[in-house]
Amino acid sequence: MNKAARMRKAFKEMCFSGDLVNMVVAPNALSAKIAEKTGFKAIFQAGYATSADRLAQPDRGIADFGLMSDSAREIINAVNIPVFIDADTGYGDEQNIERLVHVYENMGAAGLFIEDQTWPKRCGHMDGKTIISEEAMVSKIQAAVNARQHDDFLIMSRTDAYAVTGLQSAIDRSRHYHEAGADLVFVEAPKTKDDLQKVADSFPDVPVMANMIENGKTPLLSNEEIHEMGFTIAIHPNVLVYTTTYSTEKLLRDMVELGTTERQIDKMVTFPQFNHFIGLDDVNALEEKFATAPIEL
Amino acid sequence: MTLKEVFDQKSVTTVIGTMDAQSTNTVEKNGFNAAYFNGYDVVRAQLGATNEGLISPSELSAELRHVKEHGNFPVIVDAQSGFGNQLTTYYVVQDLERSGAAGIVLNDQIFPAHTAQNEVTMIEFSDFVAKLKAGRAAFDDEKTMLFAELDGIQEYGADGLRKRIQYIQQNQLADFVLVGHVTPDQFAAVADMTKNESFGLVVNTVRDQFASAEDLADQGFSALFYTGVLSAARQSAEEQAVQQFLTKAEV
Repeated sequence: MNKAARMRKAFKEMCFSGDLVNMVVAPNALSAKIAEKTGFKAIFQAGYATSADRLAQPDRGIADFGLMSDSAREIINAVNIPVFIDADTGYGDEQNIERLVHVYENMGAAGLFIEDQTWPKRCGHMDGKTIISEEAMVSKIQAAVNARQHDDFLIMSRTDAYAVTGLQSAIDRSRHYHEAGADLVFVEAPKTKDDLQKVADSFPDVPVMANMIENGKTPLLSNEEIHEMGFTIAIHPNVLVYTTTYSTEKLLRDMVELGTTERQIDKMVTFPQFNHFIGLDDVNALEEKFATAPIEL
Repeated sequence: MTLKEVFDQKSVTTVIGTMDAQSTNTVEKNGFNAAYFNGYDVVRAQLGATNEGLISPSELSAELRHVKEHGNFPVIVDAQSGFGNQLTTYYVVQDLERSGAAGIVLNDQIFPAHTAQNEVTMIEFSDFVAKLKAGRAAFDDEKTMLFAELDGIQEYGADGLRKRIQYIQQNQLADFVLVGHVTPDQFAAVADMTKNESFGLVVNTVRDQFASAEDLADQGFSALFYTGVLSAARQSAEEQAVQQFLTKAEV
């Protein structure tokens, strides 16, 4: 069994185990590696963080499929835990979805979600969202399901209908997306705990995801609370972007002011610690393994 | 020679579609003054498909940067329908110009744009105008040329096409107007329009079978943009080479 198959199998088992799948969104390969080392069992790659990390731009449909898939490939190759993909709207029509499913499946992703926003999309917690028709989205889900080569490459439906047509519409859409073949369900940006509970109660037999954004539209709950409500997947999409921005800005202001990093040095890993973490010993050992030896002919 | 000088120099400017550094070099070495790096040829070469809408703009610009490593030969780039709305158009055009495009073509199809005649759907003209304005605003270099490609004669008819050409030119929304996706039964009406309007014709040689290059040059079009020539030729040459190899070698 190759790595891609192992990752798909592991992620499917996690999602249907009944335990909570707790994922952080990794903006890049380094943060993915840190997440893996600190105990996360799966990682999410998503638009908000990738737009910020790769383009220094907001999540407004500026990051396209080429950029997102490049970043996903780097993250997948850096870790040995499943990586789940935010495929936004599919970046076009059913033919584009067919292509992206092939690309993500071939690169070793564990699965992906497709959302029912119009393109260019917005972060689910931003105002001004618009959505495509339910029929058009059902067709996209069917295209994704038909395109996958392995049944354990999981397809999640995401609906942004709550902000446009209300909670019940979002639940109804998600039910139809599940009937069209989506393995997992995600209703984006419910505004209250009651709304979250209604979403979870509506899908007792389907793994449902909750999105925990700091200062977003959904109340911030602990993993334990989310799981008790009935959600089996939790993601924390922006925490690494916000903490990186906060700490980087703080450090750089200090450097500009003082001309030295002395005051911040206790907040850093050391040179040897980082080299060890990033795998320098392994790389050196690999080179040594293939070192040239003299040959007598 | 700048792209503008290329278009000012001749009464009929002919550009050939390219898809990578090799094909662009071929076009340059054979006496053309510009290349048309377009979605159809790029998708055929890079993805082995024939639907131009499958490529994403960052993949297009990455390939364009390889093309531009070889020098300053003017390359016009097919930004299709702007890959979304006017916002995406702005960023896509900006990225393509930064990657070396001397000219940008925007068409009035719904995103994703398509090559097949029966898969083409048009946006509202007001949305196309907004995209042209966004594309122009994204330019950093005033010498970069903007081409407006009208693909919807099947939907808005010859009269709608004429009105669009006139509106774009009167309002200076683009430096040049192109007309694409013309079917054989519409060709005579489009050619007749050249008596009063100045515009170029986009010809996909795999899809459009209505006239030879020699015939088109005499029809009054001010530019001819050919796509499909080199990607089809490459495929044909590869097939021939493989067949020749098979006849000479045990496999």
